[in-house]
Amino acid sequence: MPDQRELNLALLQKQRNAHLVFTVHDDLNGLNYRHVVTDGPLDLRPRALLPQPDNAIVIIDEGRALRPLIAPLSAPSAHAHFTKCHAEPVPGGVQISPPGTPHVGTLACLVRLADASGPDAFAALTNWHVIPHAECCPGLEIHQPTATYGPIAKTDRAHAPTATGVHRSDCAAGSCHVRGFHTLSPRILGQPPLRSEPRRLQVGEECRKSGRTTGATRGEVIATGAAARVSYGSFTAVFEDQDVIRDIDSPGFSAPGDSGSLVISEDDRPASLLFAGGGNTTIASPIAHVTDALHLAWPVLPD
Amino acid sequence: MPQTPEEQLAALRQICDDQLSGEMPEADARFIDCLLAAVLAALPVFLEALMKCIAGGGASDYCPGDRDRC
Repeated sequence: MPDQRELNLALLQKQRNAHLVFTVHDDLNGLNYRHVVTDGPLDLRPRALLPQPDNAIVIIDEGRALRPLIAPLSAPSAHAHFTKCHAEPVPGGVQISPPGTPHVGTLACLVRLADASGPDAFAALTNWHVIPHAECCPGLEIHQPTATYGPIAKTDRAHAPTATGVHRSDCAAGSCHVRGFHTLSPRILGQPPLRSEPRRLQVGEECRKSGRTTGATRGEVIATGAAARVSYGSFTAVFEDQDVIRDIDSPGFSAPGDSGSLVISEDDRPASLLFAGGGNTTIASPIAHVTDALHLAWPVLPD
Repeated sequence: MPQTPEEQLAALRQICDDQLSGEMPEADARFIDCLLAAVLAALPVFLEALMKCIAGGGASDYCPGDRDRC
């Protein structure tokens, strides 16, 4: 029998207007509720709503399309501390700017590359769409907060989602070994020290992140294993097995510019990489998928 | 003050010779005491880094910068 992740993906692929499909299990009555988030009409014929081997009840929610959360350089930020220039070593959660493009995103954190050794094994983590040159052009400079200031990393590797296939992450890493020193700190601005080993988020858990636009915020994990369709402007990409996070506080868990933020679990572990959102919903890729795509190793530094 | 490396080496050799013969000038003795104190002061830091390297299996490869790049 297919698991919930496969059923979510199958339903998303049948419904071209759906942005997000996730399943919530109700322990009280033992039922699964499959939410289909859309801003357009759905095909309501039974075949288009899938055979339901788990007898899930399909709920149709109205919601805004999902987009990557980058922002123009001039976009305001709730907290200047997250957009200002930081001395070395630079913490995660702050604004970074890719080479030659007029947008900004967020630096997730310091990571370690499993297939590199020595000082070159340390890198900066963010989304591919924050530093889109990472895929085509290794060695280009990544700046913090803007190109006015010196580089903190150089593009190295990425997983770029495309219009075809099903993806599990939108991520990139760039070497932070610049002029003989590491430019990044293992700290995240506005957060307690991270514990070394990552883990997956759980439904109902409160999570946190630090990002360029909204600063340090809290959210609630409403689903894992979700399927999402994200519009990148020139193409649309389909993702499977994603975490879905809902706002707890006002103004919200994330906003454009927060792409690349590391989502942290209740027990201070790296858990997910924020990359898209719409309305009061944020989508993040479990760190396990990012680890696979970029060949990362944990812990970054020994305790 | 000696200027060239050869002159510096000769001066150091003279200090050693003077020390062996018990004729080391007071200023040079203070300099060597100071040098010895500096080496002893740096020893714990060096040992700590060495222990981290041994225990951390390469963790000492992480070397955070402290530039004020702003």
